[in-house]
Amino acid sequence: MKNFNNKFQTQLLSVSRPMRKVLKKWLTPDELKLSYANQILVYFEKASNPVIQARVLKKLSVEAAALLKNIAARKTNISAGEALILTCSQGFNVSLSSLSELHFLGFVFLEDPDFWPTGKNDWSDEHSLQKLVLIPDIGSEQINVKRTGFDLPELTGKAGIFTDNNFPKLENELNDFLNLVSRKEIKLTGQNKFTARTCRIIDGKRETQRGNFVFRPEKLLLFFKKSNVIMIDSNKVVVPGKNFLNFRKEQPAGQLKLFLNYLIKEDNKFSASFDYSLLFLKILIALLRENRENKWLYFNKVISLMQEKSKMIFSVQKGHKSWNWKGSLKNAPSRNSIKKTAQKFIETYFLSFAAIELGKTESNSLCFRLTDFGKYWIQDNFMPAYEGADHKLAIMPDFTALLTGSGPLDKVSQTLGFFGKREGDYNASVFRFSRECVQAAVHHGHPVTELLEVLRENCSYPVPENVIKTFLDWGSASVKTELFCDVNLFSFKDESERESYARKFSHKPEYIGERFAIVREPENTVLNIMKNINAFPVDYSLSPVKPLEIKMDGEVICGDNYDLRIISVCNNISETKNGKYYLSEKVMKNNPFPKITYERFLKLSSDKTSLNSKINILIGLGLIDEQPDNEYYIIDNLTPKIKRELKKLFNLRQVLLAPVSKSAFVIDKSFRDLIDENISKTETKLILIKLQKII
Amino acid sequence: MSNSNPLIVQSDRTIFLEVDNPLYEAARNELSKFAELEKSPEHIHTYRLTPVSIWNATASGESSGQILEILEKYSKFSVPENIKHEIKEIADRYGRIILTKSDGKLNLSFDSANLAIQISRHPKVVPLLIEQVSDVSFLIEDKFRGEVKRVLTNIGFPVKDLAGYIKGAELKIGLRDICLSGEEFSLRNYQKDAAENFYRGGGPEGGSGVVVLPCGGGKTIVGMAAMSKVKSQTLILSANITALRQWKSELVDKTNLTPEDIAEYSGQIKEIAPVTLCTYQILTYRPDKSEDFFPHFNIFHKKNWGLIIYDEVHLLPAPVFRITSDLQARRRLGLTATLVREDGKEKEVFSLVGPKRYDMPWKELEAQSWLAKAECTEIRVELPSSERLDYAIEGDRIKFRIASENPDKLVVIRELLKKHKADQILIIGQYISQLERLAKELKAPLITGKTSQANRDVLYKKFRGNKIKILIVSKVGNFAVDLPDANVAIQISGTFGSRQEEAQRLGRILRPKPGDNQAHFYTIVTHNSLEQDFAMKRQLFLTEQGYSYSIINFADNSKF
Repeated sequence: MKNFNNKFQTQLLSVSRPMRKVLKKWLTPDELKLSYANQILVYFEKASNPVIQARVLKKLSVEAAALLKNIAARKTNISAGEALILTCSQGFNVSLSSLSELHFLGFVFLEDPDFWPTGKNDWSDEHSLQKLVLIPDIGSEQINVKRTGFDLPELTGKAGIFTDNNFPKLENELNDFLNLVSRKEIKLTGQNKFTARTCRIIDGKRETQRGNFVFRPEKLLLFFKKSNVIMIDSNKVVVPGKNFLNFRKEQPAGQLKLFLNYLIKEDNKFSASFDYSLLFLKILIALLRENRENKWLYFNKVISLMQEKSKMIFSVQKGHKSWNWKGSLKNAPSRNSIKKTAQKFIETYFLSFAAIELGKTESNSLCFRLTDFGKYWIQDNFMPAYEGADHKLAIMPDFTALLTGSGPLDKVSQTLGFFGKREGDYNASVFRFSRECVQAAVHHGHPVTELLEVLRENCSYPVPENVIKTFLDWGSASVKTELFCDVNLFSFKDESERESYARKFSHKPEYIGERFAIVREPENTVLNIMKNINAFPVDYSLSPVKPLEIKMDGEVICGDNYDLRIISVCNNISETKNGKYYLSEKVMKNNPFPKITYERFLKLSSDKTSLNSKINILIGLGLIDEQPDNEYYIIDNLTPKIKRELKKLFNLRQVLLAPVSKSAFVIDKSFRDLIDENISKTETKLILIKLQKII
Repeated sequence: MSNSNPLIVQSDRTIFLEVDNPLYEAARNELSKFAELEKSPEHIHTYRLTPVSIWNATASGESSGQILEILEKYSKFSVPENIKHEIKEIADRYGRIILTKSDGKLNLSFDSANLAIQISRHPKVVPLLIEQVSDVSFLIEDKFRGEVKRVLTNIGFPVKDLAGYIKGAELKIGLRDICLSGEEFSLRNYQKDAAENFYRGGGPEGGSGVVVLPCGGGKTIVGMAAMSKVKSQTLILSANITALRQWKSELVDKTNLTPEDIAEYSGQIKEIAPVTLCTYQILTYRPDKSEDFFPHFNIFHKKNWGLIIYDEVHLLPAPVFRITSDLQARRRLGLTATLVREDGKEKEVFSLVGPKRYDMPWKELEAQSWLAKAECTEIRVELPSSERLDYAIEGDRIKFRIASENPDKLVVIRELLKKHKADQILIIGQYISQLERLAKELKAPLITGKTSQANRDVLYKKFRGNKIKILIVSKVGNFAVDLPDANVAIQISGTFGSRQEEAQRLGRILRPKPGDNQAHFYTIVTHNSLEQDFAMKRQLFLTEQGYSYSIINFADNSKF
């Protein structure tokens, strides 16, 4: 004898109630004379024998067999309530009797023997939550049950569509949400809730659509996160995940189907109490699925059917007296409550997703049937293409597109949504394109040609030339520009030095000009390599390691030959003679940005740079006039207080010609005396410089 | 409502109008009465409904029912319910409060006692009322006529002002048939209509309001036509001295006024005559910036003005609104190319200057050849490699300047000058140093803020007389400079994407031209730079206005 199911075997052995009637279905009279423990072992052995199984299965009613098939398909991972709902929603008249029948024939038991049917106990919510234990080695394929299905409450007469669907287009909602993700506009708080700004952005988007949304945007976040379409980075910004592009390339109908299935599953988990609403939802879906001819279904008859099923499920009319429950109807919902629940489902999952359309019969009764999307979702029909739908698209030269008459789940609308911001969605959908939106779309795998193709094929007017050029420009810039965080710019003494160090890097560096190279390596690697080649890094956010210096003879010393800022200033004020740099009047004269060069020079030059050198440069750059007597006055240590005093006397801006340090300025000498008078008793000084030309 | 109709009404108050639709013209004529044209690119125009646009319509006699009827008649799809509701709500408010004058007293009357209670208890209204005359009417002081209108418009109940105007001191002014310059002169039909819509036979329903005409549409002429109807001494306020002097020369040329009848009140000259021209700048001058005292406001009381003309009313400075508030008994005419104000004070213009009396889109004038056809081209030029490093390491402000002063723009300018050898060319820029370099290179005259008015007048005259072909101007050339023969404008740098600047600059070349009536507007920008990003805003503005806009990369097309 072998053990089959240790736990259950032990449970059966310890069960206090007599099991003889159950075992009798499987054991011969001789076997029933064995000890109880041995009877159990024989029962397990026989129950796993397909021939014997088939013999006992024949004794099952259709409803019990259908219930068993569902339980077998899910093995032990199903609760009693769920199994009943599932079987009922397949059209079978399953009831508590069917479950007691399975106990009585020894196929299935509630996990806890205390809940088993005794003929005296009532069915309760706790019973519904009980997991089911199936005798081993019985597969659902062994159980043959002919599905009866429902008698469809279909309409024979005529009905007319009476509602214009006034719900927002949910495909747009999905699209807009992902567009916000691609632009990194969705941020979460520490508690994983949307930040206030994100809420405003999402609400703003939603306001552009007509009608009310039936779900909160948090649902979308969870759905996308679970499907790996998005992820949340360490800064709590929602960013594209690994399935982002795949999801976006899915047809709008496919996207909606995935979301809808998720929504229904998440919203309607089997709850602690017996959930009639889950039963009604499943019945509704089953009816729509079975209605292959897509006839109008009477709403009222659907409600009657639900009511009938909800009553029947707790029926105990058949079954063995001591192996049955007394049943419990006290929780069965009223017709009104069924109607409300059904209406809520119709609105939340069917009308809002444009999966059904409503109609009214000649006698003013409500009826409904699937739309094309509904057929695609529930009956797995092909989704008809809307490419040739009766829409009118215009793209205007100011980068807005206007789309009217777009069919539901329109691919054109979806593509426009990838590349542009949807701004209005009433009679016409309005999309505004910007560099950021287009580049975000390109970055996430949609080439700009995809947009241009849709525009060219669908626009009622020619696409303006400036729009095409600008889109291509934006698209190409986006492709070219990729931000790598681990990129470093190296400057070398010359080409040969660059060449000799290039091989030290694992990636071939990109060369720029004669002396520069861009290296794509992580920072640590780069620092190690630099250490090996005795190079040191330049941080442009700091002052130069060695500043620029001007010697008395006009020689320019670039303290740090690898600091681009110093090199730039040097190139703008000097030229080389015999391998050295000297201030050059010619170079300075041709400098198109003298002011910028001088400001940068002041920032980068050393304190040792003489006032004479600075005045020479000012003259060379044309920022002050050359004085015939070579005399220049500098006001030094100009305090804010003195500034205020001087401002009262004249327009100080006109008097201060150019700075030579933070608090010293070359002045217009016609104001010399006036200034002198006003600063005589202060620490501010007027200095006379006699210029010595070094350029 | 029918699918073949040209209008699409959106719930956010925008209205789209299909230009190619056979019903376009009829729909546009109706629509422009109660909606503001926002954008007019080639195929679909965008209008917007605003409270002021609806009140403008109701002030012209349209009712909410008529507005809705028009929308329903021309709409492709159903008119959104919220729009129907808002139109009714907003339009029906106009005329519920009326201002009249009897026995020399101003009377504010309401159409219901409830409304009278509601409004009279508003904290901003309380101090303006003298006494309650009946359940539905209150006396107010003359000096609060403007303030009452402004306050009530701001709280959503515009006042219908039927209190009439004072006549003002008489001035016998008439328009000439032959100008002093010898040319024949007559009003164009739309100018006649604009003046008549403003004057309305001299009754209290007219006499104040705004005429909207595009640059080059002859706003000065409309002003003169209005003066010839009102026939009283007139104060004309304008944006700058050059514009004032053009007003003066036009008045002398086209009316029977003599130069002695017209005076200039500006920073340079302060004279008063039956027709006085004054700048906004001098009006808002304050000797002490910390005090709220404007010494030149007394100009409004120096004569018994029968008409005040506000040129470029969209630029009207806030303090002038205040003084205008005290001038409600005088006729007021606002002239502008756009009602859109950057500061959003459209309601002030509506309540204090008056409702829109006439509007003519530029496309119409272009179609009738009253304006030149403008072709806008953006030429993108690369930054020389020597500048790239400087550009790359600078902050945004300097980046923009480096891109704006790109020395390679000179090559493009030379090519354009070659192409337009026979044309009158304006080169407009922002940076004086750049313009000075350019003037030196091209040996062309330059006008900047530092150029004396006398020199400017000489240069403008020479340019008008075809004696110089190229004129370089800084931003002083943006406003009200009438250079009718300029047919090419090249802008080489500008402020950060100002729409107003773009409109003004383009306006310089829109006067009708002999021959093909074609004007060219070039913008030279540095490719892939901040300047190009800002040029995008200009591009949007021009395309929204409906101008054709093309883009050329100079590197690909170094010859035009």
